[in-house]
Amino acid sequence: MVKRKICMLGAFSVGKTSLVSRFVHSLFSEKYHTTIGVKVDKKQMVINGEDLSLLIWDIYGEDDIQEVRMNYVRGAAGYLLVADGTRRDTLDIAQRIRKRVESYVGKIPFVLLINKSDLTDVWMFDDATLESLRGEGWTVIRTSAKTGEGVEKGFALLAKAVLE
Amino acid sequence: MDLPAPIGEHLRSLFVRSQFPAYFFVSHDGILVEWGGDCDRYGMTPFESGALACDQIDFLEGMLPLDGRWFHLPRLLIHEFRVVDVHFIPGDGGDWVVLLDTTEAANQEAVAQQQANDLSLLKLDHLKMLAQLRANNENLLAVFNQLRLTTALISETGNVVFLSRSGLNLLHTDADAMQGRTWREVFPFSKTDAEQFEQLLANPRASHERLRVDLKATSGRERWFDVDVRADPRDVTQRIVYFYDVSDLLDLRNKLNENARFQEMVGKSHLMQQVFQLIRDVARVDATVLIEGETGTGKELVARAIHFSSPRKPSLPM
Repeated sequence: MVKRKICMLGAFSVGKTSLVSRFVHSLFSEKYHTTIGVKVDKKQMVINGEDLSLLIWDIYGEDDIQEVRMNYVRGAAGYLLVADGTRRDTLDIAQRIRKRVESYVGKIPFVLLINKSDLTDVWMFDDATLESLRGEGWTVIRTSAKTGEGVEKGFALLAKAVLE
Repeated sequence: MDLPAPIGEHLRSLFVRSQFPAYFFVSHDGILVEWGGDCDRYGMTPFESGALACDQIDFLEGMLPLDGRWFHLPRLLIHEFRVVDVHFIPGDGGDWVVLLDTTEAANQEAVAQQQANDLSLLKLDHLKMLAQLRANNENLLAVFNQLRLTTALISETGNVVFLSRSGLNLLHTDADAMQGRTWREVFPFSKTDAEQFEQLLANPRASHERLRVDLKATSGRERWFDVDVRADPRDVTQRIVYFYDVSDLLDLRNKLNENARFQEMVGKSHLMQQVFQLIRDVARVDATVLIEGETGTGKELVARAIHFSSPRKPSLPM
């Protein structure tokens, strides 16, 4: 079986752990627990008929005080950048992280997940912003760890990309 | 640092007892060659010697071989609630991987980090709420200013601290010009109106009736207002003053009163309006008019009305 390491990266409280929990365990909790360091989860997938073991590194979120250490990204085949659709600044943080990852491990596949799509009344991103990112070649998916919207799709797209 | 052997041994023993090290040696081709220390503590055994290390230890996927430099990964949640710092150290023919238990420190960090993140999120929520409140305030003010209702806020000292846009337009002034001015300076009340207004300000609950005042705007047009004074619920020393423009209403009422009069006769009823119209009609006709009716019904008034409405009105006295 093929193994690939992928990382969850983004600002704090954007829902990285919740997305992993939804994807791996089909669970969701409203309560917010901050992640310290990193937790590694595993998920078996079949992509285009090929068995894949995805090692998902759920890494602590970046904030004003601490940046994500690039040592965690070492050996990753791809990563999911996560932003919070209700906090515009989390997209800026995701963009900064992407640049640091590229300078550390080079260009590897990534997918941007704009999470919390269930919170429509406080949603901050218009279609034009997302289209602009797609225009730059980014894969952008709206997700909700709460409802499950886009979660499987986001992971599957990255899984396909890391196998290519 | 050179330390005497007993101290060095003591510190080493102390470190080992508190950090519970476990280690592996992985050859450059990825084979798990050797392991030791407190591997059981981290739920990692049994291992198979000679097999690929990353097939047995998930977090090693992609990490080895090293490029000759050591590094470490802090705070890896490795087994249930066990957290380790992982040190990667280059060796001969392979690399050493050392695990040190940092669960206690990680738990303390988690509490502090959780509080910091919760505070940050709270701050963001407050900022969003503040922005929303500002937007709502601006929207309300925009709607409010479109109303014809003039509203003023008067402080305890009598200063006009707010005047709605319709008030500013009425008095041909702007908000800056209002600064520090009293209501006596702002509103061109007559002496009598000013006295009554002052009484209302002093005791707004005393009267449920509105005060009617006339204000001569700087445009010269006189306008009539019904004035209602209320205590500001946010600060009872302040007064909210509502100026209801009744000028159009009064104009309409005057017109109605005019329609109710015809020459020397008065009457609003439909029948009287028909009589007035009949008088207007016959007054235009060049003919003799016979007026009949009981004594005291107003035949003479009708005759005089026809006479004064007629274009052939002679200058002769009746």
